[in-house]
Amino acid sequence: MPPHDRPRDEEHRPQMGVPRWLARRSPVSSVSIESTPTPPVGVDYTHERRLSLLFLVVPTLLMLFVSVGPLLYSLVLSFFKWKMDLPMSRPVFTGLDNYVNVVRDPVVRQSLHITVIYVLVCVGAQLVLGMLGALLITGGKRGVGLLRTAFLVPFMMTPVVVGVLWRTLLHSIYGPINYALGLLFHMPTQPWLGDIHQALIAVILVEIWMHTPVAVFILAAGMQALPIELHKAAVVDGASKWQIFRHITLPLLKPVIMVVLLVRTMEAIKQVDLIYTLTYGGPGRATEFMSLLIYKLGLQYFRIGEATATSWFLLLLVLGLGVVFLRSILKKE
Amino acid sequence: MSHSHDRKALSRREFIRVVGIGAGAAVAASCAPKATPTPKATPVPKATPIPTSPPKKYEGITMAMLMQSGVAEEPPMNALAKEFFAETGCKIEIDTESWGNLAAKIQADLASGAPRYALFMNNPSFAYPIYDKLVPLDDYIEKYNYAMTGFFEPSYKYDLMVDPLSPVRYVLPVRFSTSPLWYRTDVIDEFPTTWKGYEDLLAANTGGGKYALSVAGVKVQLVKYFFARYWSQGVPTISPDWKVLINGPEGVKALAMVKDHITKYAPPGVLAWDNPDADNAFLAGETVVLESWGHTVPANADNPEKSKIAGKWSLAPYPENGTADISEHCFFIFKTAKSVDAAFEFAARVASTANAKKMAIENGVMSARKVVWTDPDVVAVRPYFPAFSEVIDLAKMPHAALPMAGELFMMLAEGCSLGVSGQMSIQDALDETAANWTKSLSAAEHNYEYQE
Repeated sequence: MPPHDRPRDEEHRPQMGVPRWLARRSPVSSVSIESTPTPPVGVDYTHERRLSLLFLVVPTLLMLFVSVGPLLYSLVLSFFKWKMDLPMSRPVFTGLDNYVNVVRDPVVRQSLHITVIYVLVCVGAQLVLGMLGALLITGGKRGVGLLRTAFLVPFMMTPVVVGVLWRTLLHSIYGPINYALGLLFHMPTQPWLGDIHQALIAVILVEIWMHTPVAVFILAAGMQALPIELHKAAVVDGASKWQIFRHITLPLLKPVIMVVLLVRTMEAIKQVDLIYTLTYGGPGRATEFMSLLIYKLGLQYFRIGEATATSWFLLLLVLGLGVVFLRSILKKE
Repeated sequence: MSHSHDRKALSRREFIRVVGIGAGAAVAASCAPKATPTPKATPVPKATPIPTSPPKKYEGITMAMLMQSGVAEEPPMNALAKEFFAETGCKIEIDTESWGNLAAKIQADLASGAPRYALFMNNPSFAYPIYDKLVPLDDYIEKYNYAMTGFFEPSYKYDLMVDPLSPVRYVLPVRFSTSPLWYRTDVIDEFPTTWKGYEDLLAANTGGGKYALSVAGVKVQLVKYFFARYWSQGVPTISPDWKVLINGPEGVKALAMVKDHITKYAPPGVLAWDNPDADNAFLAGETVVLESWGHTVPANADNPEKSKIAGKWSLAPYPENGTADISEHCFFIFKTAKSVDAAFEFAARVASTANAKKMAIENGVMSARKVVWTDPDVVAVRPYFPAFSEVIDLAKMPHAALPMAGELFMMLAEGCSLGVSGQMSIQDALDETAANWTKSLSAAEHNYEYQE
C-alpha cells in the first residue's frame, strides 16, 4: 500500500519499530511516527547516517556469524540423523523424523511436564515476592539500603556457585538446613536433593531465592516511575493503602509486570547450569528439565539430530510464549 | 553542536572523530611492517667467545594436554611437565576438566578443525569413538624401547580393543583402579564373603539413628554397585551374539539388591551424594562400610586431622566374586600433535615404572603397573596396595571397543537411578535401559563376538 494510502488516524497507526502482524489494530499510547522530531531545515545529515550505518555493519556481521549462523546450522542439522561419537560418522538426511520422535517420546513429554511446573511455580512466586520486595524498598522506611544490598547478593552470584552452595546447605547429613529443622521443629532428616519429590521442590526454592531480586528491581523501577499525583489524589479521597495498590498501582504496573513475566519465563526455561550443579537432573529424571534433556542428548549421547530437533521444538514453544507476552505488553489499556 | 562562546573547544562529534582517527592510526602503526634497523657499527671482537648451549631436543614446542580434574595424579603430572620442559624444552600445558564433561570437550575440540590438544589422559572408552584421529603407538613403543611389562592383565586384553578390526595399541596405561569395599576393622573382624553375610552385617550395624553403609548415589556412581551385584551372578551384560541381557532375572535381582541396600542401610538423601560425600561419611566414622573408588580414603584415613578411623580400616572384594568395573586412565596422542615424538616421550616418562613407583609413594596414584603395587618401598608407605591389587585382578571392563560405550554407561546410570529412586519399577527401568542399549548398538555393525 503506497504511503499516501495508509490510514492517517492515530488509532490505527502501528507503533514505530513494531511489525504490523504483531501490533493489534488498537489505539496506541506511546510515541507514533507522526511525533518523531524532524531535522531542522538546511542541515544535511547524510554523512552521519553513513557513519552510523558503518558502525552498525560490524556488530551486525558479528551477530550473524556468532548467533544467526549457528542457529540456522542447527536447524539444518535437525533434519539429519548424526551420531557424532561413531568413528567417521556423517549426517544422514531423515526429513521430519527427528521432530516426529520428539513429539512422540514419553521422556520429552515428562521433561516438558516438569519444566512447565517449574516455570509456572517459580515465575509466579518470583512475581508475588518481587512485588512485596519492590513495595518494601520503595516504601522509604529505615533500613531500605540494607534491604537493597541483601536483595543484590543472590542476584550477583553465578548459577554454578549457587548450585554448589545449596548442595552443601541441603546436604542430608551435614547441611545446616536439616540441622536447623531438627533443632527447631524436631523434624527427621530430610533427603532433599536425594528424593524424587523433594528434589523438584528444592530446585524451585533455590531458583526463587536466586532470581526474585530481578523481579524486585524491575518492579521497583516501575513503581518509582509512576505519577505520584494519582496516589496523592487517592489519599486525599480517603483510599486505604490496599485500595491504592489494587486500583492505582497495580493497573499502572501491568506493562512492567508483563516484562517481568516475559524475562523470568525465558530465563527459567533456559536454566541448565543451576540444575546440573544441584541434581545432575536426578534422582532418576525427577529434575531433568527440557534444557538438561537437550544437553544430555547433544553432549552426552552425541545424538546431534535429536538434540537440535528438541532444542528447536523448545525454541518454537518459547517463541510462541514470547509473542503472546509481547502482544500483551503492546496492547493499550 | 559547538558552543558559540568557546570556539576553541571541540564539539562531541569532533572529539569522537579525533579519537577514531587516532585509534585507527595506532592500529595501522601496529600492523605496519617493522622498519629496517639502522646497521650498528662493527663491535670490537671480544678476546674469548662466550660459549652457548646447544638447543634442547624439543626446543620451542608447546603442546596442550587434557586430563580429569581432582585426581591424585594431577599434582605429579604438573611436576613432570615442568621437569620435561627443563630437560627437553617442550612445554606441556595441562588443562583439566570434570569427568562428565571430558567427552564433550574432546569432541568439541576435534570438531573445531584446529584441535588444541595433543595429549589426552583418561578412560580408554574415550578413545573408541575417535581412534581414527589417534596415533598408533606400537612403532613408538618399539622405537623408544618402552617397557610394556608388569601391567595388570586386563590392560593387555582391553587396551588392544580400541579398534575392533585390528589389535593396534592406541593407549599407554597410566592408572588402574576399581571400587572395593572399605570397612572399619574396629567393628568388623572378618569381612563376609557371601551376599547374605554382607546384608546381615549391614543390618546389624543399622538402627538407632546409625547407618552401616556409605555410597555415592548420584546416577553415574550407581553403575558400579549394579555391576558388582550383577557380575557376581556370572552373566555378561551383552551376549556374544549382541543380545542385551541386563533386563533379565539377574539384572532385576542385582538392581533390587542395590535399592534394598541403599534404602535400608544408607543414610537418607544418599541419592544426591557424590564420591566425596560418601568418603567423608566413612572417614568421619558415621558408617562402617564404604562402597566407593576411595579416591580420598587411602590418602586421608590415617590422618587424625581428617579421619576418625585412623588405623582402623581395611578393604575387601565384593562377596561371591562380585566386582565393580575397571577405571583405567591412559594416555592417547592425537595425530595433530606438533611433535608425536615429544608427546610419546612425555607419556612414556609419566607411565614409566620408576615414575609410577614415585607417584604411588608420594601421591598414592594407583599405577597401571601391577609390579608397583607389591614393591616393598611402596607397600611400606601404602600397606593396603597388595590387597587392593587383588581386587583389581577381578575387575572387568564392560563394552570395550564399542564407540557407544559412553552412551551405554550413561543409559545404564539413568536406568539404575530410575529404579533405585522408585520413579519406575526395577523391571521397567531395566527394560527401558535394555531398549535404549539395543537402539544404540544398532547404530553400528558388530562383526565379531562380544566378550566381557
